[in-house]
Amino acid sequence: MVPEGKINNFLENLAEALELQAECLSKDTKLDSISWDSLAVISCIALADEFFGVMLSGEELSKAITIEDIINLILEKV
Amino acid sequence: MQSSIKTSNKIDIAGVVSCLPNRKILNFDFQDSFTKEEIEKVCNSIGVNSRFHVKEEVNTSDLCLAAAKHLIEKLRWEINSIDGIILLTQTPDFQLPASAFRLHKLLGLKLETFAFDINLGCSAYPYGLWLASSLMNTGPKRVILLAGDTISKIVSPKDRSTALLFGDAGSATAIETSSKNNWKFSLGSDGSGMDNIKTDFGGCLNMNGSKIFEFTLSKIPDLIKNIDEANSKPHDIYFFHQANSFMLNFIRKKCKILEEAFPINISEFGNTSSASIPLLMTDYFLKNKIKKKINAALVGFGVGYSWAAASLNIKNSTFFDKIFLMDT
Repeated sequence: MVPEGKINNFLENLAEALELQAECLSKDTKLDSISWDSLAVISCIALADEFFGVMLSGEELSKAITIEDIINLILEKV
Repeated sequence: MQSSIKTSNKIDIAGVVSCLPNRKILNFDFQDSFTKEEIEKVCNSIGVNSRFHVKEEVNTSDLCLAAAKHLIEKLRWEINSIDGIILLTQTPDFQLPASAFRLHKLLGLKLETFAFDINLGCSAYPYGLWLASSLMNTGPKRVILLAGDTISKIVSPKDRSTALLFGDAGSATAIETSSKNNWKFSLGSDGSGMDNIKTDFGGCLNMNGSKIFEFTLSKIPDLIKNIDEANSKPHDIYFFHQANSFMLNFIRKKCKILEEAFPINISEFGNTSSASIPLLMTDYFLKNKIKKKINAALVGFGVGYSWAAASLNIKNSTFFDKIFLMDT
């Protein structure tokens, strides 16, 4: 079980990496509504490794539509 | 699985010289191709503030030639005492012959001196040290290892992921047989990643940043573990290929290497491909005097995929210098 706090902490760090205010990033946020580019993908892979010890691939991430999809990808691997 | 440890015996580095072109390119200089916001975003992530690019008429071997001449002169090596030269480059001067032959000619090396090029990039330097030292274990006493690239010639000025990242540089490393000092190596390749950094004949450099990051994350921590375990003493310092600062900082933390044992100079020079480790070493040792023998790990990874780590001693008598190519 992954504590909610850890997910929130991950999201706060992801928001910072994307140069967004923390409140601008929630589970419902659509990736095409934010600056989701190759640098964002790399930051996300790095943070998933750092926070959850899981390895996401760029290919998997390219199928994600919302932030929740990314969290589900991580939870499947934890 | 990483490959097993390889050893070369009784080898020393006598000196290293790096050579930069004298045309400094600032981030601001890319404003014709990208917006200010784009430049800031990319450069903050890759950690590059400036890089040095050659002029059109300058080639990789020109940078390596200047480095080699300076090195040989400072070490006072007799030109006839050099048994071999190996040039590590992915941007040779010609399709053929190997650019090592131009260096052979212009350095005035003897006919018995072997000379050839090796096509490796990010992992080239530790690979080259392994190759040179292995060959030297068969007889040659002195070898000059040259590592240089002019990637600026093959990047598309419109591709922000490469145009802002790469710089040009050359280097020369003098290697000689010694009474002790064994070098250890861990090496590997994975051709399944060959398309992720690729340049077709006559084309521009293509790079898939997230694939490279995945590869680095999955391979490099094991490579560091391997090379650390191969050595009886801990490494005092790690000279990593300067891929980009985001990746370097991430790997440093993941491998639990102290910041002071992990120099980064990509901010000034960009990613200089095969020359990045010798450039980092010269830059570092010009600023930090060697008081006692240093136990160093040299780590390269990327294009291929290919990865290599070398563990070796650097003595306080080792010569280091950094020069700029003079205008002709």
